[in-house]
Amino acid sequence: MNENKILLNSIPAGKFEADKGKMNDISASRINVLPGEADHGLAKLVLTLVELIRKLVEKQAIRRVEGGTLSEDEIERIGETLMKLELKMEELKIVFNLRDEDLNLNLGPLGDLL
Amino acid sequence: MNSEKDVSDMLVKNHDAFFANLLFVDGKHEFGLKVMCDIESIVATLEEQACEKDTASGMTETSPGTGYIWSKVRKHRCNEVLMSHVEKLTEPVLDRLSHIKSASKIRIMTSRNIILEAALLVEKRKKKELIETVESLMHVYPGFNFMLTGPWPPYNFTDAAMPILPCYE
Repeated sequence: MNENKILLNSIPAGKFEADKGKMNDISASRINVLPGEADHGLAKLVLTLVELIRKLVEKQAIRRVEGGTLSEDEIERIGETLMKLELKMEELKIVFNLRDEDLNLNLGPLGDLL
Repeated sequence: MNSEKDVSDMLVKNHDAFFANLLFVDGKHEFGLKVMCDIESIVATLEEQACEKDTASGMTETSPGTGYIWSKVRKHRCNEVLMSHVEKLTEPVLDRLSHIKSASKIRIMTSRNIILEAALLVEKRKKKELIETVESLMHVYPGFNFMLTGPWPPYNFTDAAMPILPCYE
């Protein structure tokens, strides 16, 4: 950010670095489609979409558990499925060298996808 | 759009909306305000309270799948409480700015520590008043960290289709 556009700043140097980085760097949320890195870019895109679907399913499950519409057996089964899916996602992130914050897309004025 | 004529036709067709929007942002600047605070301690307290509540209500981990779901439910509830807590924290800050801004776009909890992110449309003559108000907020809320930027062109308020109201969130 252009320093002379900062009128007031009480954020201590070094504090909230991760958030400040996010504020200034939107390139991290872009899909890299350079020829040499197409695999990585594609993996990032696919895993972002899988993560989106996983979170939606998780939210739906939470809603149904809170609503009391699932039996104990159903809760156990869906919980186990979601747990395994999360573990698999962790494995894939390691394989493709991706961090949690990489699995996102900046949708401009709409904010971030996740 | 493929030609200059397309652009010109579009401008003619939407003349009134563009004109109203230009009138709306005329003589005003956009300012960005970010309020950050260390949210981790609040989250830790909320999670501790949720755990105690779950134990009391028998919501304990009986098997892996059920335990996993209950942990997610607990996290979800904590997030909801956190959001409402943050809204209460940011309310007085927004109140203090309400008479200065002509319009604003507010987002709460845009990241783990950014509790408030606002685009403020402010009349050029009120710039000094805005800076002074944010400065006084810094003193009133020493636990919050503020960053005020600008003046910017009113990027966030140039939607010709937006309702032209004196103040909207």
